[in-house]
Amino acid sequence: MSTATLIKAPKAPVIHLLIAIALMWGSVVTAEWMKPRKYWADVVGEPHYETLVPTRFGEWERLPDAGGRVVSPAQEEYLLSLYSEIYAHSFVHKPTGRVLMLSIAYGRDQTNDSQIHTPDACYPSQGFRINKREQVDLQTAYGIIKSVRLTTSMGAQRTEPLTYFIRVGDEIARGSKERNIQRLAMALRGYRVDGTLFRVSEITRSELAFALQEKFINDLLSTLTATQRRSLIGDNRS
Amino acid sequence: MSNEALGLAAHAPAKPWLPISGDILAYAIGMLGMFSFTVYDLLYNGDNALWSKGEFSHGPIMLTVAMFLLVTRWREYDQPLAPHRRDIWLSWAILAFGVLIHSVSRALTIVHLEVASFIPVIISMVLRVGGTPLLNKLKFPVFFFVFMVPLPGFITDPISQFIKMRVTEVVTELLWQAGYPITHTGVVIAIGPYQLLVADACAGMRTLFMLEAMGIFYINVVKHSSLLRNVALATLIVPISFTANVTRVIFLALLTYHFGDEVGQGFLHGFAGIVLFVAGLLFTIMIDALLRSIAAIIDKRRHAA
Repeated sequence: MSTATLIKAPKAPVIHLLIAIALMWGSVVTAEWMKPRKYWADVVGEPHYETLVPTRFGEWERLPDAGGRVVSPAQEEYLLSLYSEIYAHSFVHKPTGRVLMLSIAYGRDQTNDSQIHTPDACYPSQGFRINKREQVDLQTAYGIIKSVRLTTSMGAQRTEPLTYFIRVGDEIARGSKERNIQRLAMALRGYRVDGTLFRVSEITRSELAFALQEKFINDLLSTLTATQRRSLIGDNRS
Repeated sequence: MSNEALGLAAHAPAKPWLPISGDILAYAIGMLGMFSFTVYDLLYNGDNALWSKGEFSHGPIMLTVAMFLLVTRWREYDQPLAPHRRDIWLSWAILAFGVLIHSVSRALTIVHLEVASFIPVIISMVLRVGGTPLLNKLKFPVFFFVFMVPLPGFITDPISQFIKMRVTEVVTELLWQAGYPITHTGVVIAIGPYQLLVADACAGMRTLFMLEAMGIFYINVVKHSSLLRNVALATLIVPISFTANVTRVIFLALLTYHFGDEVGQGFLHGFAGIVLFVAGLLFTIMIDALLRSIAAIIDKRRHAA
C-alpha cells in the first residue's frame, strides 16, 4: 500500500493547519520565555540555620545533642530528598528547666511538587494523634505570624503540643492554598521561591505550653538581625 | 501458501490501517512539539519527574491505554467525516484554551495542568477532523486521558493518608489474629525485628486511582448493557482496591518476617506490586460475575411474574 492512500489530503485549509501547529509550538516557546529563572534564595541570601540560630539567647540555651537520637536511615534519606537543610536541636529554658525542641526544615526550590510537608501530615504518619488544631496569629514585635498550633499525643503518656509556621519566599503562608498562591505570585515576579518550615514543640502536659513556645519564638526573633529574621519570617510587614 | 494469502489480501478492499488525514498529521506534529518537553520533564527532570516516581508511574501506562482506545474506537467510526462550521470554531476555541493553559502552567511549573492541557488539544483535533459526532464516539478514550494526569498533592495527600492508616490497621489486626508479633505506630509496621513503612507508593491514592482506571477500562471493554451494574462495579472498585492493598502489604510483611529485610525490599517488592494488580483484577472479575448472576436472578423473577 502506498503512502498516498495512507495519508489523505487534509480537509482543512493548509494555512489553518499551519496556524494550529504554530499555536502549539508557540505555547512551549512562550512558556520558556515567561519561566522564572532567578532563585529567591540567591536574592536574599541562602540561610544556614545551623549558624543562624544562636546556641544561647535570652533565657535559652541549646542542649548538647543527645547521642541516642534514633533516626531511621530510610526516613533520613527521604527527608533529605525533600529539604536542602534540616535543623533539629533542643533548647532549655533556664529559669524553669523546661526543654523545647526546635526543628527547621529548609527547601531551596519550592517550585515543584516536593513541597514542604506540614506537621499536620507528618505527625499522624509517625503514630501521633492530633487532638486539636488551631490557627493563631502570633503577635510579635516584627508583625503578625500566621501559625498553627497542634496538640498531639502518642499513646497515653506522651503529649506534644507544637507551634509551626511556614515561610514561602518573603511571606508567611498558612495552608497549601496560600503557599501555592505565594509561589505563583513570586513566579509572576520572576522568582523561584524557597521555603522554611519552623516548628517548636515540647513534651509536656502543661496548659501553658503554647505561651512558652510563643515566648521562645519572640526571644529568638529579637536576637536576630533583620536579614536573619527575613530568612525565618520573610519581610513580614502585615 | 503465503503468496496465495498475500494475493487474496491484495484483492480485498484496502482499508488503510488508520485513515490518517493531513489534519491529523498536522496536529500530531504540533502536539509532538508541544508535549515532548513535558514528557521529558515527567520522566527525567529531577523533582518534576513525576512519572518516574512510584506514586505517579502509572501515567505512561494510562497514556498508552488511552491512545490504544482512541485508535481502536476511531477505526470503528464509519460515518462521513464532515465537521460542521460550528465545530470548527469550537475546535479553534478549545485549542486556544489548551495552548494557553499549557503555556502558563509550563512557565509556572504547575506540571499537573501542563499534562492536563493534552486533553483540550486532543478534543480540538477530534472536532476539527470529525466534528461533534466523532467526539461523541470517542468521548470515552478522551476521558481516559484524565488518568495519566498526576494529581496534585493537596487533593491526593489527605486521601492517601486515610487509606494508608486504615490499610496499616487492618493488616496489623489480621496478622495479630494469625499469631504474628506485629504492632504499628502510625503507618510504620513493626513485625518481629523488622520495621516496614507503608509508603504512599505502596498503598495510597495511586493504587486506588490505577485500579479504578483498570476497572473502568474493564467495564468499557466488557460493555454491559445495565447501567446499574456498571455504576455498582465502578463504586465497588474502591473497597476492591483497599482489599488488594491489604493483600499486598500482608504479602510484604510476611516475606520480610520469614525471609528478612533484603528479600522484602528486593525484587519481590516489585513482585508484590504485580500481586496487587492481579488481586485487584481478580476481585473485579469475581465481583462482576457475582453482579451478573444477581442480575440474571432478578431478570428470571421478572419474567416469571
